[in-house]
Amino acid sequence: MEIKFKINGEMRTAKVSDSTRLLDLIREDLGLTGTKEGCGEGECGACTVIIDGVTAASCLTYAYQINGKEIFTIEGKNSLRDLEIIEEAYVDAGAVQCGYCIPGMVMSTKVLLDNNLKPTRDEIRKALEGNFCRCTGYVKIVDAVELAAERLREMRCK
Amino acid sequence: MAEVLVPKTLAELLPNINNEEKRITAGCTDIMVGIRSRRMASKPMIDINEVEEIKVIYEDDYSVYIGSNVPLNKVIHNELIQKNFPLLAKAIESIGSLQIRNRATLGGNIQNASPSGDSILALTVLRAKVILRSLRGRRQVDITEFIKGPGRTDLRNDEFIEYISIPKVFSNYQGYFEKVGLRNAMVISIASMAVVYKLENNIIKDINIAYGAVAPKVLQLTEVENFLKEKELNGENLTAAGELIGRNVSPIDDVRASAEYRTQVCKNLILRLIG
Repeated sequence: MEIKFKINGEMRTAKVSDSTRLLDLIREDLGLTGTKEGCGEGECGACTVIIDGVTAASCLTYAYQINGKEIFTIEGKNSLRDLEIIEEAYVDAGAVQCGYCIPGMVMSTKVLLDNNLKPTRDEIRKALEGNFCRCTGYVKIVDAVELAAERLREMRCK
Repeated sequence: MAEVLVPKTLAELLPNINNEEKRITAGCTDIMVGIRSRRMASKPMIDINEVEEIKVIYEDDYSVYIGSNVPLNKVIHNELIQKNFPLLAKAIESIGSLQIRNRATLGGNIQNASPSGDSILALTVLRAKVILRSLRGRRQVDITEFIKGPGRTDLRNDEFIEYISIPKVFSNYQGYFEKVGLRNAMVISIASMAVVYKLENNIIKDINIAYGAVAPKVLQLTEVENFLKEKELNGENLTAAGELIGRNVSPIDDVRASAEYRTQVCKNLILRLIG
């Protein structure tokens, strides 16, 4: 079937089969390989994208289900400046090791900070509970989210 | 290739329901995993996500009604749920992760009929009813009667779950929910407990208790409820109730925990009512 959607600020149409996963549409058809496949079962969060302002596992979403919706992936940093700021905070806080989980982490962070620009460390951990990192032990990831929140607050106050 | 129908209204949905040949889906968070791992057969689907009429939570004088295709995260943060049934919000919050709760629905959780379904546990003690809709009309079934066993429900061939209703009498009860598992997110319970109770001068006037993951379906403990009624809420009575609970549960050994450990967890969980 043919679907129409907005991705990273741009209107697109695509032909998808009934069983195509959103993850495959994004990576294979649109060539946006920043979104990663980890477990393929919704456990790890590497494939997290933003659909109409909330996070979803793109491996557990059918491509046809985004018909008429607005999607952001990690490549959206050109149209969504917050993503760039969050990504930089991850780098500056030393939260990135192998990097595989980071696109998903950044998407979850973006939605958290949209709703709460001054989260506690517990709130950050709760918000990122669906994102696995097998390298860092999460301390620096929580630091990164705090740093991103601080930078976004400063930016908004200017 | 399985085909999919995406109705936008009840009028489009109802004539197409045929549960023997087609599968009604919403969040798809369990179904996609099931189909890809070949645990579930690939069938034509009817995706009810876009049926706007039921994507609502509303109340009348007696009950709160939750549309079956409302994502779990919307249920958690809904004002009516927060005000009347914080226990349900807490139970749902323990399901999956945020990414899953943004897609998964209460209707789907019920239709899956998992013995460890955490929302079902809360709905059981809150005496929820499942409202089923077909071209023939509506019928209401108690949640405990609707769920027949692991993965089995009383859903008839031409029906779908339209709403879940919860009586407001329980809105002034105290509640407690706890799930014991191996990590905080994405956990399948080792054991879980939901309780609602009403206290007067520290005497238990009414109490509903249910356990999850320790029997083929959610376990209601009427004997324990009767034992505790009109008794004082204290350690002695709860310890005695724990012994009764230990004799009533029938957990299994599996990769997550041994039956013996699960039984001990069940006995201990009831003590949480006194912190």
